[in-house]
Amino acid sequence: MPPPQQSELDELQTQITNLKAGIREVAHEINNPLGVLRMAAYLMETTNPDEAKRKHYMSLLNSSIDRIETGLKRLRALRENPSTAATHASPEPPTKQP
Amino acid sequence: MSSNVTYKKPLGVGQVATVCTVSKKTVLNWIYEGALKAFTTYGGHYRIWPVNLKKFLDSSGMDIPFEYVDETATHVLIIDDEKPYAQMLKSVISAELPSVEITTTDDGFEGLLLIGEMKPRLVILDVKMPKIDGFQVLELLKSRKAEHDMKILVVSGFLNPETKEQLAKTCADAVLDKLSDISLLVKTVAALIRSDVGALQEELVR
Repeated sequence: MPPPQQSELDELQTQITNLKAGIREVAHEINNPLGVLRMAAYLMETTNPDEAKRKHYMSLLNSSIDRIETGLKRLRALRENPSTAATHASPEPPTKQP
Repeated sequence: MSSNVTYKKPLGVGQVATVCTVSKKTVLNWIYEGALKAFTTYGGHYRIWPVNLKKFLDSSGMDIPFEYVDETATHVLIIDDEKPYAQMLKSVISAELPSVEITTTDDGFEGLLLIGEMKPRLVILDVKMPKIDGFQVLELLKSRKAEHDMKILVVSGFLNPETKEQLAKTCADAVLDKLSDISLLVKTVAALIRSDVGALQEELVR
């Protein structure tokens, strides 16, 4: 098997970079609603909320679950086609203080 | 008293007398009886926090228009563009630390303005935000943080080693993952409000 061309290596490197950025983006998107879930569950357990608050928490729980589901779909899409990462991912964070 | 006057600082006996349209002697009697809570200055004068005057007026049924800013309250400002997260964080802190007054904003620029107005005891700041991100806010707060006794807790949805390393170089007092345990979150907030950075777990301290 012939050694890979430099252009192929460069393309692979770009894909890895994009994939990393995509995963980071999705992780960030999933962690926010997960944090909401954790806090809503805590408040429902510890504060004995009235009906209005309970409905509010339930609404936040449901919208958070939807966001997590969307994030997981994006992860599946990344696994199937790493090149899609570039279209979703944010740019790399600064390497030094702005 | 004119209803458009807002008191922020402690009032003297004369000011309270004017507000309540009574004599200074009456005000002093309220203080001696313990009905109106007051403190004494170094020079031996009585001073009354507006919040205590309001409590006294409410408890005695005196319907006097009176506006004030409670400067004895501890203000916490949450800057996070993730509104549901900020909302829940506010609810959790309110439930665990009921004396704390919490304001939220989803905009870093507005957050900077609110810091100037409110002079909060603690700022809880997200890293990833549009317009101006957490790092830029931290950079702008560096000088102001030294002027006021203000603490900064950074909460992030994704803390990788590079982000942690960058945050360690900023003026943040503590850093937490948004998925942190609630008890750790509450303990950290309470410790920062008390300025008890020593009570924080070592890995949280910058």
